[in-house]
Amino acid sequence: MHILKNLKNYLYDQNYIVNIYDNYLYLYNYVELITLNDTKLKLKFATFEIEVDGKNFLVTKMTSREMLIQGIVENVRFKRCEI
Amino acid sequence: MRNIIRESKIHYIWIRTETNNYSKLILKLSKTGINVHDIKYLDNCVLLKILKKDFKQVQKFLISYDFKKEKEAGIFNLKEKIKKYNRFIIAVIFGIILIIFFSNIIVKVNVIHSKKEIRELVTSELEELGIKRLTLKKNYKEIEKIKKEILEKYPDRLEWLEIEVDGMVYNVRIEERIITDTKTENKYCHVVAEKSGVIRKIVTSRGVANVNLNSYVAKGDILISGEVKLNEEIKDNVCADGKVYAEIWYTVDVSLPLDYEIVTKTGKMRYNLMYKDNVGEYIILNSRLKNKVVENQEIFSLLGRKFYLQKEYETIVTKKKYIEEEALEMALKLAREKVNVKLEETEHIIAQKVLKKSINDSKMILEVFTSVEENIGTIEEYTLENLKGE
Repeated sequence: MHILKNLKNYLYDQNYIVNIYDNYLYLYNYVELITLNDTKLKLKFATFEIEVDGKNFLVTKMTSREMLIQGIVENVRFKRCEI
Repeated sequence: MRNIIRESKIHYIWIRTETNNYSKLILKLSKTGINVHDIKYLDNCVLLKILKKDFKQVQKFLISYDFKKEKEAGIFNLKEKIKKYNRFIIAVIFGIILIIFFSNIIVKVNVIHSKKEIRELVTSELEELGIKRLTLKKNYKEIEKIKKEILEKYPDRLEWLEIEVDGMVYNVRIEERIITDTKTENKYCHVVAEKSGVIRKIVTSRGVANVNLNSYVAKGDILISGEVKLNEEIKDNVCADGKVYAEIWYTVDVSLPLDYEIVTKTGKMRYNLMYKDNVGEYIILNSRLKNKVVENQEIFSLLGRKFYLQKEYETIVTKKKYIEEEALEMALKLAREKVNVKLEETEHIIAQKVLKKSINDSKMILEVFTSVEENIGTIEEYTLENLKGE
């Protein structure tokens, strides 16, 4: 079980994770959900914002740090926030 | 493993609320910081899987929505269902225990043998060793031990004993030991022909062969003589024994319908239940198949009544007609089978020949001449007084 724990620690020891699959979008360590509708999604991370355009967005899991969204991703825009 | 146990202890619930704007609800939920572990979208309604302790918080922060508890999640859902249907579950478990208990009780012990004396002996022994009415069934090892004990107790009376379990009945089959007297009676016999034929093979065990190979013998001729002669003088008389194979002939009449049916399975199968008692068989469910073949598999037996699981295979019946060559081949095969039924392993058909062939009313009628190699010897006793008289 320690191996699994170490592996998990290694994988999640990141500032953020954004995974794009065919019909899923996984986001880890987000700060705030700014916009959400069927076609648009805007999320704030610690140092940047992500804007995603697509189709049929549906949130299937949402915790304070992670989010799993079902839908077809068409466009992703990354915008670094001014510090 | 510990993680799995911990996960199962976390109490999740599914809550429901009606909404047309899913995104707005999600945005509001994200602002409250409540974790939503699964979301299901239905028509104008959303199901959310959250921690039970978060439910009050959701109701408190999202006043505009009417949240209702839908069901428990995971193992708690199962617990809730068990709680709800506890009486039914207890009744089913109790019923199963009763069935298992009753099916392990012996209601009858059948001791099968023609002699009353042997039956009584074995019955009393079985009762002593615990095989009697209204007792629990014994396991395989115990049965084997009981069999051994009885056989060892009566080595001169019992040859073999078998205890079979048939539902709630024990069938005990016995073979009595018959100790035969080794002193044989002095009897004299010939092996004589019971049919006419041409001799093909002679196997003499005792006595003197009286016929030659390829010679014709008529019914009643002595094939192996019990008289042992030297220079035409009888030196000894024995009971002749042996086998004499001769070629004999039969005429076999066969009638074969030219129309026949082939039944083939379509691959479609349905289950059914069948109940059987002394009166008859009853199908419990209506059969949905028109043409079918059925295989029965016994589920359990209770007080002489048996329940079967039936597998019904759908079939298609195809009507066909033999052409003349096929019909002739089939008819000859039938004729062979008809003769083969009478023959023993060492006997065989030598040749077949069609004597007469006709087709009437869609039937082929054949008269087949068949030659067979068959043991024609039969033992016939004689006495020395008869000989002296002659």
